[in-house]
Amino acid sequence: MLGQSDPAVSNGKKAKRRWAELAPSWLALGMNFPTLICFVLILAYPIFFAGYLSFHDVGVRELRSGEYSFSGFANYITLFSDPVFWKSLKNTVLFVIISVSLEVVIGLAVALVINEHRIKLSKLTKFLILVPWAVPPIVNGFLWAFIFNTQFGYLNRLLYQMGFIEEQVIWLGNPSTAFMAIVIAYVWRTVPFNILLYHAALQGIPDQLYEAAELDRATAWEKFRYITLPLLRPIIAVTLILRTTFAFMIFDEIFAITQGGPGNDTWVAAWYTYKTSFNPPFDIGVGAASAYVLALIVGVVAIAYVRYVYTKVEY
Amino acid sequence: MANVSVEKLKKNYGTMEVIHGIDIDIQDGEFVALVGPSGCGKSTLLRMIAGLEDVTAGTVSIDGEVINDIAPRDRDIAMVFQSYALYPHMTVAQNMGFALKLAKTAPDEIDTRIRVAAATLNLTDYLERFPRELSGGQRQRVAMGRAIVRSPKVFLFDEPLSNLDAKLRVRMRTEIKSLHQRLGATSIYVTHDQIEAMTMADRIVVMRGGYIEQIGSPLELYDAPNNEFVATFIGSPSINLLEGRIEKDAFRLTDGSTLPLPDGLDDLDTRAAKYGIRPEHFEIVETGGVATVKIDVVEPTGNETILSGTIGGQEVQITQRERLNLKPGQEVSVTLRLDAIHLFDANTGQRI
Repeated sequence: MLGQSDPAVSNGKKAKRRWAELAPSWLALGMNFPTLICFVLILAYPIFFAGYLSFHDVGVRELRSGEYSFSGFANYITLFSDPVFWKSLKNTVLFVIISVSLEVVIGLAVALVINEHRIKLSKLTKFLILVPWAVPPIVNGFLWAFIFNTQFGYLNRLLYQMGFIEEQVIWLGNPSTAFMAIVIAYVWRTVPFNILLYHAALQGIPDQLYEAAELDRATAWEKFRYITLPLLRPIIAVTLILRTTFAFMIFDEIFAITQGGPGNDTWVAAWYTYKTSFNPPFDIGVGAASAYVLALIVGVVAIAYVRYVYTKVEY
Repeated sequence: MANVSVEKLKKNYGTMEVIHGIDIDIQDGEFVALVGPSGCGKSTLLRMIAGLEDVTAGTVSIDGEVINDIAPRDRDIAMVFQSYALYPHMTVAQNMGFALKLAKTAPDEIDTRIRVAAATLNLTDYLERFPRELSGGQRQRVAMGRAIVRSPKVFLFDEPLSNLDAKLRVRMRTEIKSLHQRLGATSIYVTHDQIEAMTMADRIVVMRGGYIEQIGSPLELYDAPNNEFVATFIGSPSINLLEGRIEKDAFRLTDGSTLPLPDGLDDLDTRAAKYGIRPEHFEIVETGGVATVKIDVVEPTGNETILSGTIGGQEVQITQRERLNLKPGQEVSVTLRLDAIHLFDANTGQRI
């Protein structure tokens, strides 16, 4: 025993020394173990398992027997030859472009207004601006489903009373209005995130830069164009990466508001994965393949953003 | 180039008045320093001239035209900020050319003017660098370059040297002064450092608590301060102020000993006062001195010797050009340069 070989060292000191020796490797690993377990079980395992499933035949029968036969790229071939998949993908890309653009533009506009010294906003107003971000996505979806409801919805009632419409509009029955309904509901929920980040970044820009620009004879627009926008570039890149990633995965609002309808006009990639996997004929292999294609697209877009948009600004 | 004048200028923040109606006339091509302790209103005054602060009452005018309601961008003024306020995402050249670009100046013209300014300021090798890649002194020069490429009517400087180390500050002081001599542009320079004000300015405006204490050339302020505040603020080491009373033909210190009064000030009413004498106006003599100084500390600086001691129990500082072999505790006899003595009223602080 160690204690016998060195009797002068007390037990307390020994214990301390052991901890110290553990510190760099095992202690760190031990402390992180619970998180690692959660990460492996909740994220890593499903990710790899989905990858495994995408190369196997997985239907109701296989699920029952528990035996999945290897099918190579068959699921991917099925996927790419399905016009509904392409339609879903097209809708997703369209949705991402419109919603992310709106998030950036509206987020920036509201953040600039909040940041403006001359405009006084109460703490309550600032808090209320952030509330939609705290609403769970599915709840937000149902809220907007009520608003767009043809018979009982607030929107029809409001427009009717203000004299803008003569009769009730079936917002969710028309492909383009149904699509925009999804966009509006989604952006409503997510834009506070951008406002928050842009506002924080705006507060980090020293006032003296604007004073210097003012004396350099810059107009309000030129100050925005040449000072604010370049200095916000890094944070705009961050929000583009994050918001694009999340927008590609749009699901809750589709589920709550249109269920992909009318017909399959508002099908998006995540909805395609869900419908293929968990509705008859329960083609989980194809669903997993579609999820992987989506992940690949998101990854490529994120890398492109980091390479071409993200630049660091140092004061 | 232009003359600048402020008349009965006031500034309130809420209900608090921080500048209490001041008047200054600055001539075309003049270099004027606004000097005073923190919070005296000198930066606020400068920012009001720039248009970055609203005027509460009174007027600011350039070339006789009142500009209170003219936006800063239309005043044709350039300002060098304490923090330099360089645009961090632009190179040195872009920083310097920004105003010209906004004014839609032709690109070749912008380029020429940047190169001329850069050559003047020794920045030619740094034109493609970003501010973060420059030292403090270089950034300071870029800030100046940004001002001079525009050839504005008026230059404003807001403590431009206070972020530099002591050595660089002395060098930039000289550079700014020689730049002003070459360009001849009207300049207003804010500083809390009286040495900067003394060495650079044609005229100094000493401010305290939102009031002007005195306006004058550096040597006027040094030789004839209006009051105790100006006397102590200007000069380093500071003027000695000895407390006591003016009596019929002498100044009686609080311990009962006396100091001589200069001609013209020797027939005043008896009253409490302060006896002001600058450190260099003492002369150490073998015999025939008018007062005795007990030496506490001797500080040789090479070019002069600073002695700290007491006269009649009150602290004084004396500077002597000679290298003196004195020891702490020693007593020396001194004479005073009577024509350089100022008496200040003990209650009002005004010069008698």
